[in-house]
Amino acid sequence: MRLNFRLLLFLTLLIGSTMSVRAYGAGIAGQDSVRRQQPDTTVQASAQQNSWSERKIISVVFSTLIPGSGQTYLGHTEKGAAFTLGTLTSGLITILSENNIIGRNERLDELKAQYQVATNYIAADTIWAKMVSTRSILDKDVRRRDLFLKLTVAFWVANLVDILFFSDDKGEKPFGLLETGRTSFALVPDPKNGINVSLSIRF
Amino acid sequence: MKKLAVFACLTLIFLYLLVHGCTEPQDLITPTHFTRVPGVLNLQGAVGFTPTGKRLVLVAWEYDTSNSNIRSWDLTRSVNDTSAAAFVPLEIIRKPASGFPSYSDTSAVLQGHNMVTDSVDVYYKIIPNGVLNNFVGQPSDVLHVIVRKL
Repeated sequence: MRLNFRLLLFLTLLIGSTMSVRAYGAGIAGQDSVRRQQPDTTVQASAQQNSWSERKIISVVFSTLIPGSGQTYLGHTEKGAAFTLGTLTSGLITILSENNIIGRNERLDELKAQYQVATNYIAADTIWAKMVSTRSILDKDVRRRDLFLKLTVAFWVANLVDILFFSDDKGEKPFGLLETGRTSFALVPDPKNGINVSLSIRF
Repeated sequence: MKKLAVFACLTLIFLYLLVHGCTEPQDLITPTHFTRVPGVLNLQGAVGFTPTGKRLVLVAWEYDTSNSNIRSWDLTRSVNDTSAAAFVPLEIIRKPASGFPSYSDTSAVLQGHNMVTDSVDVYYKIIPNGVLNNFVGQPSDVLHVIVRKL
């Protein structure tokens, strides 16, 4: 019942986000012709004029697959890192708890088999105590997994809502850009030559 | 549009696997070892004499007669020592055809002329044995009987 509710929630959110993405696509189809007539200015200016750009769609896809990556793609690196770290951390704890649950279920199976063949009360009672203890820890694992699964989903949904409604495109930045007071370093992809490395030092 | 559909399908599959991939915890089985063999009830002891004048300790107990999974009881005894290792098997008492089992202990250790001290502390523990799989049931509480030198 709980799983069905979660699935329903997921589906609702997913359909909502997919419809929004489709709306972006439709918006782009109508605005492409307008953009072609305009002179090609900087990417930053283009992003401000057209919030439903191809970069925005790509960022939505990125954020759906890896929460936070879309925000980083659009230039919100800190926010993107926060979403990515939050989702990955809670997801990792969820996976570890799930792994513990699988292990303890196997342990319970083993104890059940031992219990069935126990030939005296003392041995059976010892095994029973172990089963009760294992089940108690298993319940804690289940609670932890459910909590962090909800947290992971919450991060994922918040990340989608953020990328859809609250993250504007800051424009394309060279990958690996490092700017200090006197130096700047960047890796710039070049379709002809591969990757250009740029290092500037001001004296 | 086709890419978006593929993307939506993949995400759906991912979410389905995420939600339905969760393992359900196993339930505990119903414990049977508590009642597999009837336990020892109302364990009692009394000090007396045989018709020939020997000291005896009469140990008697009851059990749940509705549970037929009982073949016999191991009667263990310890003298002046309460540690678990000190209990040694004394007798195997078969299930009586009717009524409840009992045992009369007239060992030499209980007789007055063998006692070094004024009294001897005797401890009894009963262990039931079942018919099915020879399951050894829950040991009884320890019965403490003091036999005084006359």
